[in-house]
Amino acid sequence: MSVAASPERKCPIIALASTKGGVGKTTLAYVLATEMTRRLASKGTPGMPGAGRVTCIDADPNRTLAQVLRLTDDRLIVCVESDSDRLLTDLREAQLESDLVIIDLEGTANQAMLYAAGKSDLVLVPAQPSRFDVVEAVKTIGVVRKAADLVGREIAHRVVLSRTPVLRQRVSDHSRSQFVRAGLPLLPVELVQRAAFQSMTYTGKPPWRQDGGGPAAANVTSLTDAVLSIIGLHSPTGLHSARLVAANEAHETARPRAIAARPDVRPVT
Amino acid sequence: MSAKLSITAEQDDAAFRARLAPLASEVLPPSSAAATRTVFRPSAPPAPGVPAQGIPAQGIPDDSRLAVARAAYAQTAVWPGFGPPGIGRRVLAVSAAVASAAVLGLVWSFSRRPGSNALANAPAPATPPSLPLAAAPSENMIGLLLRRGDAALADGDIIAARLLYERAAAMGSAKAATSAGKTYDVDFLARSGARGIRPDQTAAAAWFRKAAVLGDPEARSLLARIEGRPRP
Repeated sequence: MSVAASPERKCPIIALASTKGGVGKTTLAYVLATEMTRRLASKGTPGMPGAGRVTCIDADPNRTLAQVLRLTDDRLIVCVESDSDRLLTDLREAQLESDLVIIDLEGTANQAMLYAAGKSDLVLVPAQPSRFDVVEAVKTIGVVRKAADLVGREIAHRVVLSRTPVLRQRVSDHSRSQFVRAGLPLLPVELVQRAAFQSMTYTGKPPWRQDGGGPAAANVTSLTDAVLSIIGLHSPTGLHSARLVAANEAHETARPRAIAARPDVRPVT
Repeated sequence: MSAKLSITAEQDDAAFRARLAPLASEVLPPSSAAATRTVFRPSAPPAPGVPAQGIPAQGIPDDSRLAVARAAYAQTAVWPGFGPPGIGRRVLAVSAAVASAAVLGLVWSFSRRPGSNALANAPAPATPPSLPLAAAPSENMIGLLLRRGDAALADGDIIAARLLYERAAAMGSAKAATSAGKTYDVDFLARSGARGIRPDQTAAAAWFRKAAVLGDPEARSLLARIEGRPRP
């Protein structure tokens, strides 16, 4: 019997994977986690099994995600330091006690990446607009697709362009077209190069706590929307997923227009 | 969690690992014995099987607006000595092979740059206020450059904004010249909270002066403020 279809499956899992380091896996993991606790907290449904918690599993031996999570006072984020041997156990436990699990992986091809991909609802592959990143993203997604074959289900995956310059540059456009030509699905929202994402690593303050109406916060908002819409479509819709979607919808309607008007969305051609 | 459940879980995990085992070779680093070291020389052909190609020099379709801006800019900015190739340029190679102790190959090459005659034919170097202004299309271009400059400034990208404003100013916009000056102005930079950008009051004053000549009253007051201040 397929493990993926086992009835104890609880909440969605998102893995941040890339065979290349320094592409923004930890940054993306952190902004997604903090944005989701913000949304889940504002939804306010006490007594639910996940209680609005987001578990971050740091399977990177550098422990960068754990380091930045130590700086935050967000009580809804649980951080678990893990490795390839413990990952499956940690995942199972995390799924029981949270509404979303985010796995941050090491920037190499490794066993933990394989397991994380095999268990995930969505694998996000951050990549910068450079040739090296295109090559590594192709490798990473190749592994994810083979893993999907072996576990016998679809694993949604997206390349997330990261650290893209605020202003349009030809090399970024060229990289976008290279990802498309390589057959890699791009998330329509990119993680833009912003000082707020760098200062976050020192202060632990996610963009919405630095400047709630600022461009970095707006970027995270639209990025999270894009991510959740994929999970909503692809996950076996359980109680927790429904809650996430509901929290997301509540957030959509409550979002001030000023922020909605400036999402850092670029059309992918 | 009951013991029974955790046993099932471990069995599940084992099954899951076994399922993914065929991919082990993809994710495990090659053993050290198999690892080889390659030394490349710059002349070596590129490694085969790399999906991404380099950016072709001409392959990327240009942003048409950028192309227009570039063309407009090219009319205004002329590098001295960048005349048509081949005019008055001569290369002489002389080799001499006799010396008392050694054989020396001497290559003399000299090129005669375009003289005063060629320079006189070329348009004058860029000094924004005195530029001959392109007609109707540059109005749109100025507006576009200003908008993009304002957007860059709103994003906190002052250097990009400066470039955009300077281009618009080179096309004769007084407002752009004032904005370009502000990107150098110590007061403006302090107010905008910019860090890592060195103010340059001389450049600021120069741009404000140009803007004042082009007829921007704001520039006049900004210029008066800078000039009224005692020099440090």
